[in-house]
Amino acid sequence: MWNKRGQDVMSLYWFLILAVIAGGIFAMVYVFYGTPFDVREIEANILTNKISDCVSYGGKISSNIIADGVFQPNSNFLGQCHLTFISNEWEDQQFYSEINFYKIGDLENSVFRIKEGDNKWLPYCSLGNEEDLVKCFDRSFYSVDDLNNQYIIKILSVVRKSEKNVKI
Amino acid sequence: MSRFNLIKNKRGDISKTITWIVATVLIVGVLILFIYISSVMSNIKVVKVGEINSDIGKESLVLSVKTSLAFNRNNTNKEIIENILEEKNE
Repeated sequence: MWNKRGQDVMSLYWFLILAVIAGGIFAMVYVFYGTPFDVREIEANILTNKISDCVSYGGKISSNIIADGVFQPNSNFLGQCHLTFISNEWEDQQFYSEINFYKIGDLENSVFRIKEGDNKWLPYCSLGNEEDLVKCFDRSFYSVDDLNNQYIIKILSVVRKSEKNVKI
Repeated sequence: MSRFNLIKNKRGDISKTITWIVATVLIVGVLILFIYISSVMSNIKVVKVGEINSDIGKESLVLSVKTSLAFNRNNTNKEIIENILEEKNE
């Protein structure tokens, strides 16, 4: 009789251990795959590349931006490049881009600037915890205008979309 | 059954019970460790530009080609400009 009771206890114990192991494996998979991949850096990078294609082609700055050495203010320059930052998926705009043109002799003050998107994300770039809130990506390259004047062009791309890329 | 055999059986039961308790603690401990490792690994699921194999999104290639093409048009102060870009794109 005692032996039978012992066997029953052992069976229960084995089921309990099986349940604990199964629960543990479920927890591991849930924790790992429940966290999304953060691809915002790649996204900001691609955005930077697209904007650079729009700004400069074949090493020459677009005539929509500068003509005969004079910058042309244009409120919808990025729209002309088929870049739209408005999405039905989000209430707020999730992107911000800034293109600064510098003369070689003065890299502190930009001679011309194009902005697009929601600039309220910009201050978060300088914060320490930017990892979660926004991803900021800036790159510079060299280009010339139609009169062969030299410019350093700096493109800053900011992507928020933290809800889809970071577990909150 | 003699008294001696009963005592021997009881001792055997105690050692078996202790073995199973230790085994249970080990199993639960290893599970907790694995869940912790999963949690740590899930926090580093950040895809960085240098990690992708495709040329899509590799800014260095696109922008350096643009810079090279611009130097073909005007390469005055080439070294200075290259140094500036290297510093800015660090």
